Amino acid sequence: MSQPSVILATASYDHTIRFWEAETGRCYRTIQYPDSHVNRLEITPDKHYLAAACNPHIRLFDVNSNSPQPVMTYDSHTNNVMAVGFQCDAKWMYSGSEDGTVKIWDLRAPGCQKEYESVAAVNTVVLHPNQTELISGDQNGNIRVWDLRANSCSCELVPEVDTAVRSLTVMWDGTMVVAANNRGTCYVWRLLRGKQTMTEFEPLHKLQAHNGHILKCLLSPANKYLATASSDKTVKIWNVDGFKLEKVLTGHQRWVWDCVFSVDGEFLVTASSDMTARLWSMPAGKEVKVYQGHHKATVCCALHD
Amino acid sequence: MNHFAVQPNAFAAGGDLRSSSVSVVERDQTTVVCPKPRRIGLRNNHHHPSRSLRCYFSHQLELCESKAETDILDIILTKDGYGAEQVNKQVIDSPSPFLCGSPPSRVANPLTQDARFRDEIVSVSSVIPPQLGLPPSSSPSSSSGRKGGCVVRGNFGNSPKVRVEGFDCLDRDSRNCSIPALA
Repeated sequence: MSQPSVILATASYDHTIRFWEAETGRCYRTIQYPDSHVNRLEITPDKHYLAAACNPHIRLFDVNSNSPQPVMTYDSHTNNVMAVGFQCDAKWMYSGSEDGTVKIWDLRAPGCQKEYESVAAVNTVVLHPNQTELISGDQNGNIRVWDLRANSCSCELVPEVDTAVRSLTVMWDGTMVVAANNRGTCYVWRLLRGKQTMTEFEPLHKLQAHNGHILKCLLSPANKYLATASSDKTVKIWNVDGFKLEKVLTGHQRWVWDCVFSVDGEFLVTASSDMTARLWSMPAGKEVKVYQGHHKATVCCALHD
Repeated sequence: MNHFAVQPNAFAAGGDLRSSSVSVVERDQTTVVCPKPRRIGLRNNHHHPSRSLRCYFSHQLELCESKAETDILDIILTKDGYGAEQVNKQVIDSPSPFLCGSPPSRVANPLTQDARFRDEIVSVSSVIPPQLGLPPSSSPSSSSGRKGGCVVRGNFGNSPKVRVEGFDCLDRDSRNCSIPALA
């Protein structure tokens, strides 16, 4: 089986992971996942593997195989794994869980290598582009910056005490970080380069993006847009220069759980409780393709093109 | 005179007679079998005196078995005729010493049972401490089990060097709003 140029995968509460032809909308592979549900999907930078974050496992599937069996399973978390991602060279993986921990996994060795205690359930984790810091957001509203070299928490930001941080995103060049919470608010910090490699978090903007939950926020890789997916069934596109609302993507019939940009920022894929994933054109603000096949809510998506 | 002399004795031993009366009644129900006419006649004609006499007789036998008192009773019972027959039947049907001894043993039994009950209470109390001790002992094992299941090479805490609550972005030009951190 040749490696597709565009890898698009979704996971649903119907206990399946589906691979789609992005252009035609055809599902060409389905993995049954009976013993858990998937909270997050992530494709490795080399496009070889798809990571599925579940309860409480993380499993890797070979992208170039039809095997329903994972090639690796990581068992160390004790509760829902809500976040998973890779270092740029795919040497190690990070994860965040509702067991209150953030973990680092060496993909070349078994077992968890490092563990950071966050106490409260971790909802989201992102890796700073400099590859040396993780930023986590938890159920109690704490945003923590973990220094992976010093193995310590260098900073804790709490824009709203006891309001769950649902999603975090960092600009690809490390100049901006955005946190979205359950009250529909986005908090934006500009990251300034300080002395001796210290970065300063400068509060930049408070954006009341939605009236309900923001389930996912994502900065475009082209340094142009911020996408916010919400329980109000919409995805809003904000211009990061002044945070003006550019577009509202409507079409999903229920909560929009996840979204992911194409590498050039021209397209966005969304996943929704209406059992579909959709492809949107950013310039047009229109739906391009609907991916239908799941029998229950589609809660996460992954795209690597 | 003799008849009058008996009456004071009966009054003097009122308490004993009452308790004995109860035991005698029980004994009669279980051991003495008499024709109805005689029993009825006995109760109707000489209810108090004859009953008192029997009680007195039993009591005296149980306690000291005085010869003088026995003689007097024998004389009186012989005169009545009914009493003599009843005495004979009592002797024949059930030996007095055994019957007289049963009430005290029955009285003692409850005390023994009470003591046992107390012992049981004590034993139950002694069981409570181990039960109370179970939760503390179970918690460490549960914790150790969880820890054992998670093999971690490095575990690090969450004590931040800098913690900032709130979000103040009014003065964006001023660097005073910046939070220094390694990010």
